[in-house]
Amino acid sequence: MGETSKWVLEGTNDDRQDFKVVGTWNHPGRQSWDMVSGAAKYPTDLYREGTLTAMALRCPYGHAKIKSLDISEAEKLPGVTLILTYEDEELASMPVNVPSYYELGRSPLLGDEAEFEGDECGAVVVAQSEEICRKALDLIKVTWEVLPFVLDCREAGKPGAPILRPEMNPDSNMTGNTFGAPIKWEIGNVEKGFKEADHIEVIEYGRPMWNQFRPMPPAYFSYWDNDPWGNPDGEKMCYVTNHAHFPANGPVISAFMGMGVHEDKVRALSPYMAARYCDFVEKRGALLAPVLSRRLGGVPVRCVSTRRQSFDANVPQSFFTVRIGFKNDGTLVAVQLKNVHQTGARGGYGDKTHGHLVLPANAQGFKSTSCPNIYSEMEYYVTNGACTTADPGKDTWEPVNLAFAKIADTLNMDISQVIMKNVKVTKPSLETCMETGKKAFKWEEKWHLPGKKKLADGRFHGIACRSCWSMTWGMISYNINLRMNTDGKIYMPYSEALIGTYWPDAVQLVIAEEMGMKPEDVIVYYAANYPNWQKGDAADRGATCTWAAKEAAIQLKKQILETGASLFGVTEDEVDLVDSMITLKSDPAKQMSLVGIGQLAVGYCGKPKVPFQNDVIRTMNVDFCEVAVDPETGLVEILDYCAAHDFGKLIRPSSGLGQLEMALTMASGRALREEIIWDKNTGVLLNGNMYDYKVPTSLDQPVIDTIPVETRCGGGAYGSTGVAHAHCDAGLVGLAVQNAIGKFIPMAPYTPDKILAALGRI
Amino acid sequence: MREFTHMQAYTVKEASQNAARGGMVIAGGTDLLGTLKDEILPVYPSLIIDLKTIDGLDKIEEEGDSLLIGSMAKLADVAADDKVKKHCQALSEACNRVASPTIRNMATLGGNICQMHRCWYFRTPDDRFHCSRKGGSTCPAYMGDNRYHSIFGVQNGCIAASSHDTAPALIALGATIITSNREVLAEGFFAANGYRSCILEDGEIVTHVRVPKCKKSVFEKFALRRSIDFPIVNCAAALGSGGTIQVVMGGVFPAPLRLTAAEKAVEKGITEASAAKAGDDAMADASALSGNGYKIEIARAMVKRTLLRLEGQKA
Repeated sequence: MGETSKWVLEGTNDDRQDFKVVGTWNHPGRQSWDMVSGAAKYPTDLYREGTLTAMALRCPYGHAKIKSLDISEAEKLPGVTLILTYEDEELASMPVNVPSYYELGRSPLLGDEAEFEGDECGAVVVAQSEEICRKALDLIKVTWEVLPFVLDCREAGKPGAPILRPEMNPDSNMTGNTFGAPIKWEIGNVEKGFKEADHIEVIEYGRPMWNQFRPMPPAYFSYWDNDPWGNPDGEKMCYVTNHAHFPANGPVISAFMGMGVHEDKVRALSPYMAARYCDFVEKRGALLAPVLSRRLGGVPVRCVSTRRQSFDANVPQSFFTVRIGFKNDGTLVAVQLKNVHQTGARGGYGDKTHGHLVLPANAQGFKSTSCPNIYSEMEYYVTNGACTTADPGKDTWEPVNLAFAKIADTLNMDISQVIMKNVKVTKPSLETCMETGKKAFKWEEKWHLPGKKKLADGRFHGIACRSCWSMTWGMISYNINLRMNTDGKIYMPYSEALIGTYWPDAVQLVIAEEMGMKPEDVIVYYAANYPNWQKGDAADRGATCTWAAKEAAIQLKKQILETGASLFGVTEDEVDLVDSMITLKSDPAKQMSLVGIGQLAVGYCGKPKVPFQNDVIRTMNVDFCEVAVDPETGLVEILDYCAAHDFGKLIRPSSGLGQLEMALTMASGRALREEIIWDKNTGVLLNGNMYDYKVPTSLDQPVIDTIPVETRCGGGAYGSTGVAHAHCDAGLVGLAVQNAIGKFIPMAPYTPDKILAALGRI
Repeated sequence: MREFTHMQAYTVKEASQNAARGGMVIAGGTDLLGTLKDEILPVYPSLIIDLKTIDGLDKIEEEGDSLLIGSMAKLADVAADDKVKKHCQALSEACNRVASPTIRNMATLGGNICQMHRCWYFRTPDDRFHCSRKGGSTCPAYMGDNRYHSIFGVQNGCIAASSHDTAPALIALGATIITSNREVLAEGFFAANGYRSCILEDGEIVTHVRVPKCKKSVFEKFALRRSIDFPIVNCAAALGSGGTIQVVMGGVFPAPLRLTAAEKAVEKGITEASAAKAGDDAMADASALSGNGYKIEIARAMVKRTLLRLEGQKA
């Protein structure tokens, strides 16, 4: 409470004021142009002459094992090129290694056991067309042994539940961490804390499995070919589309690890990717495509799936029980949190077992409060409910804000005051966000005690706010290569697939700013042959990778000025770069173009000098939500949605504010409608389409106010920091509903059935 | 999507004859193409017959005391047509609430009334659920997730909820569906019938809809998304000749339901009290399944609101 951020971040240039380019509007975005004009090529768009299509057999049951498989009729079908089954030695042994962040976990690339309905299992067909693939798959005779399935991680944890992955844990369904046991930690003495508390309350909260945003079903495209310069040993190079961006290119890293091919033999093909929001999951097609292509001598192979099949990787279920103890003045003194978390059908995010310690919604967020006594217990259970991905939302803060709301509700306090009272570091970021956000949202005019206000049309009125950190990543080094070409322009290649966070456009502005170039003379471009290293296309890494861009720009500018000085016959200190021209400081009219002065290049690999993310709360954000709840139908309408976000420094406003709008739209969908639904009797997915899985369309987007805050406290260039991760959770709308109807609803999404039940109407 | 032969029909007779031989007709295609893509039907058609090439099926014309609307009239055109707005407001409003703007620019009135049910068991691809509509012996929604299903019981072994937005409006307005074979009152047109949601027989094609002019009519829809969803509940009310009021609800039964109890409750006029009673009376016989009790409450409110809006509408 009231502490000031103490981090001193080296080299962020967080005191620079003289910006010409950074923070300004109306820069044509290369990515946005590509996307809206249709020029952007996604993996589904890629095709080369002779391309074959691959499709895998999919399991029709919630959990099943293949007893027998007969592909003889399918093989006879004209147009079928290759059918591989789980008995294929190479497929059965893959992945050779288990790459980090890879969804396969310990499952083989193509096994005989399907862990969920729609799982790729048993056979993969390569044929001349998708039509022939489908016919061939229909001709494969399969006898399935249907196995017990569990869809809810709480059920999976109960004694007597069927053991789903005995090879991972023969005793229970607890998987996904190294120890096969609950993870527990304690700070202070929780029981002592509860004894000191004036009030003790228990809150239950859960969220279903959520799908990621899916603009299109994924496809993977791969071929092996001679490379004019990259394979002096004569081996072919593997080209593969890219559906991930972290830690390098998912399919690429998977391909070389799985196939025993070194990374320098793999090239990423596509600059744009769709069908996903964040990271941590890659699908089997990503590896099947290069494997099948190699088996066929390098012929291009396109591994496709349908829209419905693309619902096979989702954000996991999570359920909390939070016991809180607090004083009469609202001070939190004890937290005891139990989180039951779903690890998905593969038993975790590959071998990223330790990731569970920091990523899922345990009590980590409470470490950012002043509460001295915290006990956290997590259990992870495998289910048959699809693979799991990381949660784009900052779910560690959901229970924190829920606790604040409960304190406010119990003590008839304003939740914004409870937040400010209990978050440990409030200055300058949280305080600024709270003040500016409350003003923009008109909080003081709107706030009321829970259940105490109705609108003229009879609907309940509710508001809430919640706080969260704005992540600033310090764990990844960013690799930037910059060169000045003979045309006098600055080029920066990248090879990561883009998910719509526009980081190259932001980096372009930082480079221009730092070097004194016109933005149009800085060209950040996709280059498949560029070494596959992290650049930062995640919702919040985009800002921090500007750090490395800035450092590289400083170095290249120095080289250019050295050259320019010698051409002018002066010292380096006497020249500068102004609007892409070498300019004599003493006589700015004397300028020299960069065109033709030569080629210069630098490389820089580094990262912002910040500690690991969990320990950094320099930059914060506060979101506000106003809802109307129809007491007769249970429909929740978001009337106003406002995000006061500390960008540190807003580098490219159109991108940054757009990220906020995107994140809040995503949060609104999760809060009000989205959930993965299976048939409980068969384990079959029911809503694997864009009608029944209800993502918001542009017409459903609530009114969103984006309030940029700039404290310069982030770890990226000029003190910038990340954006969207911090806003994608659903909890805020639930808190506003609670303020409206006076009752907490323990499970998202906040659909009419739950609202009407809470109101006692059903 | 699998291969099929696509033919352009130039007469209703030509389309009808080919449809009778196993072909499927396509109008706007917004329902059929998704159905084919997902391989929802037990039998994949080898022939698709395009009705868009038949002259005159997209006209909206006055015919005495009625409007004659071609089945190929696009929903966006019906919604925007001044004649429809003036004389059949509920239909205009219903067309304007179907799906999304882009779909309304493709989809047709005939397609909307003939579209298949949106039950997610019926629509799950690859015949994962061989339900009663596909020749199976059971309805998996009974024991499964039925949050969007019927609250008024079963029809022909099915508890899917009708999902046409235009149907309640057409029934309330007393419309007649004109097919290649016959004329049928809209009230008797809709039913769970094999994979169809209406009583059309093989080879029978909807050509027009005749809608009597009406001084007052309204349509209301409740859906989770404002933009694109099928209705959880929709409701239309129209002032008939002699001052009677027709109230029809969709989304609560496999076919749209005429709510006679609600009509009776407002026989003497629509007030807050009578409209509320209409909602209560209309739901008196409703029976929730395991997961859709909330729909009864929504339906109750929708009846009341639709009637109150009808009362407030200028004649």
